[in-house]
Amino acid sequence: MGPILEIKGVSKSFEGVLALNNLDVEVSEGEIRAIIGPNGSGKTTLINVITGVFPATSGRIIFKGQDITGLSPFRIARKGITRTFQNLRLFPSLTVLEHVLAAQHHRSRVGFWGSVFSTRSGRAEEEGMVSRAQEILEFVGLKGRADMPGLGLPYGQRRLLEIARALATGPELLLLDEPAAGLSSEEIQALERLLREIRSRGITVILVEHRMMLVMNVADRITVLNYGEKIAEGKPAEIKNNPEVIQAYLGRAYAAAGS
Amino acid sequence: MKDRGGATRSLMVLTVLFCLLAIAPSLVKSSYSLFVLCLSVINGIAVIGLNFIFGLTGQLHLGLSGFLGIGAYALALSTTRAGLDFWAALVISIVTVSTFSLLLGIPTLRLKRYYLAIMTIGFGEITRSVLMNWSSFTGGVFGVQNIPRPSLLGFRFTSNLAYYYLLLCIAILLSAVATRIERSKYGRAFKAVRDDELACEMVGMDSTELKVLAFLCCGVYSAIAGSLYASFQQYVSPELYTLAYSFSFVSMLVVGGLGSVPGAMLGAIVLTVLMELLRFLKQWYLVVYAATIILVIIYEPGGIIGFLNKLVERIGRRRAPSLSKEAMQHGGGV
Repeated sequence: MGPILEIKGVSKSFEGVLALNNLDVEVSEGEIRAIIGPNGSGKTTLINVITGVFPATSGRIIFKGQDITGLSPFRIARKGITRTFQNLRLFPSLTVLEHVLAAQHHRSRVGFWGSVFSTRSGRAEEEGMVSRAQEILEFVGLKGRADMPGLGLPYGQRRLLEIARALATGPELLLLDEPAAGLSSEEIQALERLLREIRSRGITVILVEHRMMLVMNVADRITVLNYGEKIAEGKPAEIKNNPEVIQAYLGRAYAAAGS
Repeated sequence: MKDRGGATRSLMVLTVLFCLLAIAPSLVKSSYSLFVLCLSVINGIAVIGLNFIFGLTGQLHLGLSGFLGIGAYALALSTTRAGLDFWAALVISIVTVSTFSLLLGIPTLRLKRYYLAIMTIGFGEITRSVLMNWSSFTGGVFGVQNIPRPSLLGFRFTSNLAYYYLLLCIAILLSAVATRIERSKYGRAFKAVRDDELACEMVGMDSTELKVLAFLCCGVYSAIAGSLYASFQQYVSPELYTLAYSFSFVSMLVVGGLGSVPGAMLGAIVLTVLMELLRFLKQWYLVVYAATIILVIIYEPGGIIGFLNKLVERIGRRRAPSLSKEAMQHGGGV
């Protein structure tokens, strides 16, 4: 299948420090693409640039053949790109269910008065949103938690709620920023299954992750960044044995020993 | 389905509150007390309006005096100068304040955090200055006199008692609408914007549009409150519409409980009455008034409503100890 996302010559500098340096990446439709690299290699910056949190200094970002460079975050989200956050950003005053309902807000069609006075269409829409939300909560494994406050969930389930909220927007491309951080090994196995199921629903996934086991198990392809540049790209098996990658992670001595 | 307990509780508080307000005139004797009651209800409507933008959406609005002043003057001028009927003038007042809220909100609310607070302080001061100095149009320091009371189906609300019950009906209607808005998908979106704007944008919500909508709701409620005040006093003058006046509404909302419609109403009543009770202290009343607000913020950040909620939960727990024990024995199998 063709590329769903094309990153063309993207650079991002913060007051002269290059976080991304002339980066070219193509992500195919329907794949799980992992992006790995040592700390400070520009992984989260890349996610922020794709989702419009801050604009690229130069370069283009093309989504489904359409230039989305410089659009504001909510417009990019409405085109079908959404994300989760490395440091969770849940809504402290909303319940689990309300998180997933709020994420459907932009797709709802009933106007202000219809919603406020619960006209027949307003009620029908709300019911539709609730049943969709319940289905998504069940899908990520948060069934029966709907009425809890979002922050009342244990840490691992908060990560799942972020994924549920992202899925509720109906994305075609889902960017996950270290979804396994802080999870137990059982939780990571569940996450691995969830990622495969998300892919089987036709959603393309970009996965920024440090847990190599997870990356090697689920990724179709891996892109390796170092100092904001792409140093390798390929299937997990190819990346595992790439001397440049080993050097970036472990230093020159290990790379020499490995080869 | 979702949070029905909280919804019924807030409805119950509102019902009890309005029932008490309905019998209040027969409990108080003096015409002065009736005057304070009228003022409390009018302030309540303004605070419910402020709750949309500050309580639900989390944007600090320090220019409520501007909204109330423009609303009051729009009614005052269109009844006395243009000879319009109260209700027609009320529509003009609502349209005028709504227009100002859009003109102010659309550019300002694109920015995040405290910009609205700074802009609205300026807006309130400019409004007062214009009302004061554009004498040919606003009457300047002399204000506008002889503002008529409304009439409905041939009945004129001339006495303060009749006007009080009209105010109460309008307040009940506006509280009901505000509660519906809070429980709708828009109320949910307002709270999400208050909690985390960036997370909202990432799930496709246009946070600017939502903030402008909440600001507009605030404008409509302020226009109504301002108009009702002008018609109640039958006189408006510019010196009322100060920054301190704006702050008094913020205090009422904080004391009552941010984000809650019954809280807004309660806070307005409590602080309006308190301010009148403290009049014997002369200039020292502000000290007691300020101390009350500080104590509430320190010991009960949820305001009066937060305190009531905790109280209800504690009573509920004490009343059903056998039930909870049973639930524990069964492992709380939910």
